Amino acid sequence: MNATDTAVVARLAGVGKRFGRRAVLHGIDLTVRTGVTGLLGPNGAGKTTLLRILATALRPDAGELTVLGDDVLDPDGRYRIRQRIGYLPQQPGFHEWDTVYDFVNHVALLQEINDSRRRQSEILRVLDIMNMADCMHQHLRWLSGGQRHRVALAQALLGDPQLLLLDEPTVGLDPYERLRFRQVVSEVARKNAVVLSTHSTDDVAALCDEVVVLRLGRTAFTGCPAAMIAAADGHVWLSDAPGPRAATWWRAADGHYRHIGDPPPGADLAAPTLEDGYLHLVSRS
Amino acid sequence: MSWHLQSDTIGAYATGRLGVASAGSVEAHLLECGMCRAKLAGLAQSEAPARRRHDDSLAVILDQIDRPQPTLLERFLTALGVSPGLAKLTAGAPRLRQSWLVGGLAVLAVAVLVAQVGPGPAGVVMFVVSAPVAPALGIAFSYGWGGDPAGEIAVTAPLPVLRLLLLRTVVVLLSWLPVAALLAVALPERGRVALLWFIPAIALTSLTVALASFVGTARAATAVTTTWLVLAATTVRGTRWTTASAWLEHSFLFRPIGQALLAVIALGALVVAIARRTSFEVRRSS
Repeated sequence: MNATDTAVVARLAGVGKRFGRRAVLHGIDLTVRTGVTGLLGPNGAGKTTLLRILATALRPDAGELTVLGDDVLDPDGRYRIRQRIGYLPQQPGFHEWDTVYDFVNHVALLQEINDSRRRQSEILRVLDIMNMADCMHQHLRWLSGGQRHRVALAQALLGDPQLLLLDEPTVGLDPYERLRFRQVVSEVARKNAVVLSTHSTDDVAALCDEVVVLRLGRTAFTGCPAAMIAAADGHVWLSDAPGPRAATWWRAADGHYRHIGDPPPGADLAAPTLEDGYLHLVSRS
Repeated sequence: MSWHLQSDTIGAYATGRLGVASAGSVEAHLLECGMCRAKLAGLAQSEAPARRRHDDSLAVILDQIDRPQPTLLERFLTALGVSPGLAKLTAGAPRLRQSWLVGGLAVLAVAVLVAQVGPGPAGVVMFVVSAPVAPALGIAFSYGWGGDPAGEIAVTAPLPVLRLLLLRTVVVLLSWLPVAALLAVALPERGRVALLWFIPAIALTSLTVALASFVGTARAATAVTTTWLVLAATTVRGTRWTTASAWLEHSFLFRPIGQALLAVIALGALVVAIARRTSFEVRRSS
């Protein structure tokens, strides 16, 4: 997607968040546009907190944040934002005794889709997108992990949200479901914005127009995937033996040792991948 | 082609009424014969509106069958002017919601039994002290103990959480107060003493809602009911030869001044809950 045909959907300026004495986010500056933005980072980097702030589930302690043109700290603005976002939490809880239909219906009512005919067609639409329409009368407690995940994703699509926030949406999905998920997200991102947090650089490579790498609550990188790969240019080395001075290294399937950071003696420079770019960014001291 | 399909055969094929073998031979003929293909196309076109009407009516019937019917509680709330959507959400609380009612009824039934057959006024006192506890617990259970499992989705939805909580609270009170009042009729004591639980029940419920804005419904209900039971148990006092009235009025909670104070607390707590309505709409921790 070109920068010219994207619109700004959310803008963060100096956003910070603390839980008690522990600072989780420090002065995050970020502009979210139409298309897919991927949040990458190690556990504890602040990805979930940032998504929760964007979803209005948490209030920032510092900085300014506008989502879809409204200030998250203004109650009326927050209400308008909530009407136009879809959110998949990292651990979406379920009413286990509900059927799939009942659960999505419950969320549709919380979304204030009050007209019963419209609500019903919207529920069928999102369940159909996630290939769950055939299971809509099954109880959630009997569904597999992947099916539950698809139900959770279906509820986030209710009302065709202008901003879709997905916290680790591909965890637990098999390859076919992952492909289906990518198709759905790509379709949504044609006219709306999607922000997803993930540990998978494959997801980023397949989906994202923009990548944000968080590290210890700060932005370590913002840019397109190609720029993230370029960030590791000149830092990826291949050798026949491990080099302990490198920031990180591992033995690849071909038997060579891949290093990021300082090269071992006699190592050859290698072309970086997206994963190398990510590891280079998060392993820098 | 020297022969052609008869019109009724084409009609039966178009509407899927032919068997597999006959349909196969018709299809073999259609592949060779342009005239019969044209006749089939014309027939399909002329039947399209009727078919569409049929499909539409079928869709309406299926729609009616599939659509969940409103429950009695939903219809009652809608009759009171609550929107159908909000009524469905209120009535759609987790199934655990019934357990508080059953538990509360069991305690009161035991109290009534003790009051009827036991010596002294202990049963009446037990009834008056325990009756206010059930609705406070009912609020917590109406979201599932430990909170709404889908709470993170709920807090980011546009429907105000407090509106739903208050509506469920009203339902809890409407379920409990008449039931407890009916059981109170079975007590050997009548009049004011048998109704001393009423204001505390409202106060404990209201306090639970207000405290829930700080710590969530489950913790709020636990704190409020435990405090109430400890206060009542340590201040109510008497002997088997004194009346229930004497037992209860030994405690400030059941004297007129205490009851007036509880009424004021009930109102104040409701004001606090409404003033803190935005705190229901965000997570309380990481």
